[in-house]
Amino acid sequence: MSQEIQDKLDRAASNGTEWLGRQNQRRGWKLALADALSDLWIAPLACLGIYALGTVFLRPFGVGAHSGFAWWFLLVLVLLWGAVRFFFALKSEWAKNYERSEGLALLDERLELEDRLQTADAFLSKPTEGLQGAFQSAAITDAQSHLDRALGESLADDPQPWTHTRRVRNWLVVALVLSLIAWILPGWGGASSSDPESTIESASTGRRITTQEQAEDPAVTDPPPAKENVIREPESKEPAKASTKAAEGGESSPIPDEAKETDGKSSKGESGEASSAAGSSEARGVPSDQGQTSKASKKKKPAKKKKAKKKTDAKDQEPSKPKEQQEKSGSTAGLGSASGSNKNPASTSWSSKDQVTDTEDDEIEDDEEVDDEDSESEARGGIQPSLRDRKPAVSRDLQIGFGNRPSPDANGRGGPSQAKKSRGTASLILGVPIPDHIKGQPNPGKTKITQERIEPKADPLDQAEARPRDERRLPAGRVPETAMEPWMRDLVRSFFLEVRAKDRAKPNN
Amino acid sequence: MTTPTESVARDAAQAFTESFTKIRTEVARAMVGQEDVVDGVLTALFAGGHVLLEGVPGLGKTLLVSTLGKAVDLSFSRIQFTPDMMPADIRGTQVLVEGEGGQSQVEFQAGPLVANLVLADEINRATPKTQSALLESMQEKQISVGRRTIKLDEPFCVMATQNPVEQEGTYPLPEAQLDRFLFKLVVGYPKEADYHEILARTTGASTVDVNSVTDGKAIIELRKTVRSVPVPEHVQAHAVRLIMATQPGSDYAPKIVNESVSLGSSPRGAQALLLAAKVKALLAGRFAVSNDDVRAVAHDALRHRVMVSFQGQAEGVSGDDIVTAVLGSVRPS
Repeated sequence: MSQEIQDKLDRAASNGTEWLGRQNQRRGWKLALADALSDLWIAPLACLGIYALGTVFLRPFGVGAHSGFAWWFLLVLVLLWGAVRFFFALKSEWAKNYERSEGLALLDERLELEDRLQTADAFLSKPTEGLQGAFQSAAITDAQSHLDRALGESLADDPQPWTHTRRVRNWLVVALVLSLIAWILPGWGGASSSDPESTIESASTGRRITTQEQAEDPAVTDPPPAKENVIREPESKEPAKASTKAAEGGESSPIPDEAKETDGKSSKGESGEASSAAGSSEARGVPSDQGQTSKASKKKKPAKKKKAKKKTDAKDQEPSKPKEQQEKSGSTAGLGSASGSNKNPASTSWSSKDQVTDTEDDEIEDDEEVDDEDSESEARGGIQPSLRDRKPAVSRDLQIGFGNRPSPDANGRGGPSQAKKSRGTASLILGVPIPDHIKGQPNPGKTKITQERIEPKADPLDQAEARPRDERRLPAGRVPETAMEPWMRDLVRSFFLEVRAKDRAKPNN
Repeated sequence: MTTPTESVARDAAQAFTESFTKIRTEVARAMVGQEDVVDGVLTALFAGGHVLLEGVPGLGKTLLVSTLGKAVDLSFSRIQFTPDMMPADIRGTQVLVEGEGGQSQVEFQAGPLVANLVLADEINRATPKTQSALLESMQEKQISVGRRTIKLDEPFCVMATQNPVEQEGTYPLPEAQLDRFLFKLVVGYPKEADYHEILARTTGASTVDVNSVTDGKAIIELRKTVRSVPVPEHVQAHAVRLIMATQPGSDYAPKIVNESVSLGSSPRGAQALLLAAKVKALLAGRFAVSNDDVRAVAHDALRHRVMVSFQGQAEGVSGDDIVTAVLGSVRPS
């Protein structure tokens, strides 16, 4: 009978574990996908880290300083990493084996048998004697009545119903993936042509451009980013047109490459810089009216918004276009450094190389603020004294301070001084720091050591003369008496009596 | 189909269920409602443990215990704990008595602790010194007075009550004493329907007489039946994990335990879980303990064994919250 129950339990456990395995395989896809997606950030982060390291540490040495960000490589790396993670996660999920007890526990739970199948299986494997054995047998018999029901239980896969929410969610995922692809692919295609970093990279590597004529053109020796070329389209100069056409045709990369190449190494680049600098100084010397009025109108807003406004300068390109044109009119050939040259007149070859980066635009914002203030003061009808050093008036607030810290504004002119604060009425006010009271000295404090350079000199003392010791007049006190035998006491007594008798017998000197 | 050995088990289980039901019915004649508390007290009695009843005054804690004493025909004594009570007052002491021949001799006079059912009313009003006098009797079922050790008669069950609101002038029970209680039952307010029955019974002229339906010998036999109920390995493993989950820093401890518990349950908690679960299994008509039985008694068996830390007390975390979190985090395998 127990064999029959054992067989039924085996079949039930087999059914349960098979069902769990099937469910695990289905769930494994989701879990593996979730694992892969959750780790996708590692590859971009690693790329960004490498890029940042190269930018920070290798730039001063000119090694990889202008290495472009290979978006295609990043995409491939992300996909590759995701695929590997997905593969291993799926493999580990599918490798999971379910034990017999888990299969029985599944049936116990589904049929609400309160662990009867698991219990019977455990008791069959370890029978005991006595009343406890009787209880075990009763438990096995009790489970037998439920075993047939467990074997008849159809453990069909739980089909997930296509609810409206699930359908919408799936479509959203598909739409998100397609949007990502649509966003990444154009950026990928245009990255090599429009990305200024990639142009710089080609310049640093010294790669030659096939269009020799464009390289020799001084207008393109200092290349601007492709976006700026588009903005400067109305300019009437031929070089600008050439660069604009190149940018529109997706061939902007050869021009900046050549320009950068000549900028740092050939004499053409140097002449371009010189003319750029000259042009910039000219632009500063004769600012256009439009530029002033536009800045003056901007200055009516709070000063804090200046930086934010500068960062969103791309949006404001449209109204400031005349000013840029005027600046460019001063610079004959410095297209690439024109935007930065009016900010930084003493542009060097180093700065002209890196003016394409956004970080340096941020660095020169302070200088631009100075220009803004100058132009603002001029717009108010004359040169105003510089307000940068102006400090607020001395506070006459009687505020004493907060806790132990004196108020930064209360410098004593308006309120009581530190010394006065420690006495009088002010000392009665809460929060008055009392100088005499030292709170919590964490160390022994300062130690001052004074050294005097004095020659050592002798300090003679009076010589003490030797003299005989005074006689002892006082009693010696109680001397503990050692236990002596009677004959020894008599011997000592007779000895001293004899000595004294000899002393008496001696004549005095 | 049923073998002779199985019939022994079935008969024993049936006898247990019948006795349990009889006592419950008899107690219900005097005690209205509070079925959970009555079941808890009876479970502790049959599992061989002691019960701590906690509830506000007037909920019938003392009535429950005294009615139970009558229903099971056991020697019953009641100790009203007061702050000036001394250990000798409950254990007993040696007194000087005059013998037959006019000779004086020292004789031991037993205290109220020497009984089968001991109601320790408002136990937290006694000083820790007196509370500690219960430790030996609750665990070893004996008392030591001078050089004399007196073995207490089985069944011995201490049912203590304490009031959670009147904390002034009380002495919280030490952990060693709390751990010796199998269950801590929280007595709540009765239901609306129970109120009508309570008023009808207690404000009328009729009185309820409770008859004894079993005796101490039968209870000892039923205790043996309870201990014979086998525990499958997976259920025992689950009980062990539940206990370990109450101990901060253990592998199974949930976050709230690590943050809000200073002391978890001892192995005595695991013993309490399984013993009480055995009673539950028998009452459910099963011959082995299931995971559900263990989980059903977890609150009563563990809520007083979990010491909530100061941080947990400041955040209002109670022992019941801890046990609920443990049950949520440790699932049956």
